[in-house]
Amino acid sequence: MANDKMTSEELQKAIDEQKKIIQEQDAAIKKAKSNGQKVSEPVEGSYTANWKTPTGEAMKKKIEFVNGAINLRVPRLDGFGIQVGKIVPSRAVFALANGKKVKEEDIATFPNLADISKEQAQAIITYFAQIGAACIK
Amino acid sequence: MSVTIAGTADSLNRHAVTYKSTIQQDLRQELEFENFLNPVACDNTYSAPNVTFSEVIQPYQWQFTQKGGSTFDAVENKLQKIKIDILLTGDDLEKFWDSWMVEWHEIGKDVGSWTFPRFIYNQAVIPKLIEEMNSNAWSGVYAAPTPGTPGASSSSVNGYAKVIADAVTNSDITPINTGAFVSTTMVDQIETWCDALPEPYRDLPGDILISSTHARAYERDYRAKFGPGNSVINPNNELRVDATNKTLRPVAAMEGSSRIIFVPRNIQNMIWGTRRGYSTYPVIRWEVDERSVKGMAEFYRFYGFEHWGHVFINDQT
Repeated sequence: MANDKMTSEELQKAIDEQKKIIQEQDAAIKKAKSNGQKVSEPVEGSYTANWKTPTGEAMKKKIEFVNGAINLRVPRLDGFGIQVGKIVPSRAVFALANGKKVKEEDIATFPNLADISKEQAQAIITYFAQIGAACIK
Repeated sequence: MSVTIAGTADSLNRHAVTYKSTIQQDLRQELEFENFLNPVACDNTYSAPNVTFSEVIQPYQWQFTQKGGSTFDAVENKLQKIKIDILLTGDDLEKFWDSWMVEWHEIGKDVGSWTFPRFIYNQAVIPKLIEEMNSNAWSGVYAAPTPGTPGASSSSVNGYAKVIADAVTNSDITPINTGAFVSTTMVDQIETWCDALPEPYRDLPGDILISSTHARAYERDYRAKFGPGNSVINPNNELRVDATNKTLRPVAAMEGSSRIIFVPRNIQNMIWGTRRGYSTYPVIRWEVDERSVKGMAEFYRFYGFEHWGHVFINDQT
């Protein structure tokens, strides 16, 4: 673990070791997938949700999804209408919630993303945080 | 009365043949998943096409403007070969006949021929088969056995819990989140889950598979909120989810799990498989061998789905 007493060389060495581990893990995942094994893919993005509990307690939490939760279903929330139950990519919802642009490939595969606003994306993630959905880290 | 090992094996085999259909029917009726869900047969792997389009309709223009990205895939359910090897030693049989049988009386029955096989089948073999097959259908996780050593019953086949968990890991199924079930909010959680089904499936009639414990929690929460305990005669013993065309179906084998699964009534999707040309349920052959009787049977199973797009589950395991 890096600390204040590490020299820049030691720090670089630690980084290189971590990079090597990541490369090995990526290679193992790639090999497993090519063999038809099921592999949980990591989910890009995060969002800091703010909400109040039923007792009025203010909550704030950085929300990230567990590996494998690359898609989510739009929950039953006010104002969602026909969107409810549809599948959307999690990374796109994180991007929308943070006011970022959604990837073209995601819109091509999930056209209904175009109908989800920034506020709605934030509401989806906050709702999952409130109910303690299993997809949250 | 003279009872021999050879005679015991013979009478067990005669019982197995004579009552084959009854034994098979008993098994089918008592197996929770297999009684309720659709069976299919295959030789090795049951493969069902899994084709989806993202969106196909668009406003008219004369040019060809490609739309509706398609995904061609298949859901493959591979059969596992399962076996039963039972050993009844001569000592066991001697104890049975000399010590315990003397207490039995069955008027009008040929005791030497039939009581022991019927006892073995009805009181011992069939109940144990039902218990294990029920449990394995949900919580089984296949593991190849060590050569020469009997593997665990739960390692004989992948049950629905494992199949679903793998599909979620592989992003084949996207759960509808309920969060952890709370006994005082069960009705609200189940109704919210039903309301969050995609529109084409939301009002479809069907069953929601759920553990018996959670089903009871739902009934009690319903009773507390809308039932007789609230000065309203509104029992909900059939565990309906109001205004959704759905009812909860408690499954004892799912005990300990918080998973719920919607099974639409008019779509064959959640299936179990057996091998074409082979007996659906185990048929035990009894053979005499060195002061003992061996019972052996082989059968095939998979538990799975036809189309991931028709599988609706919650996020809890």
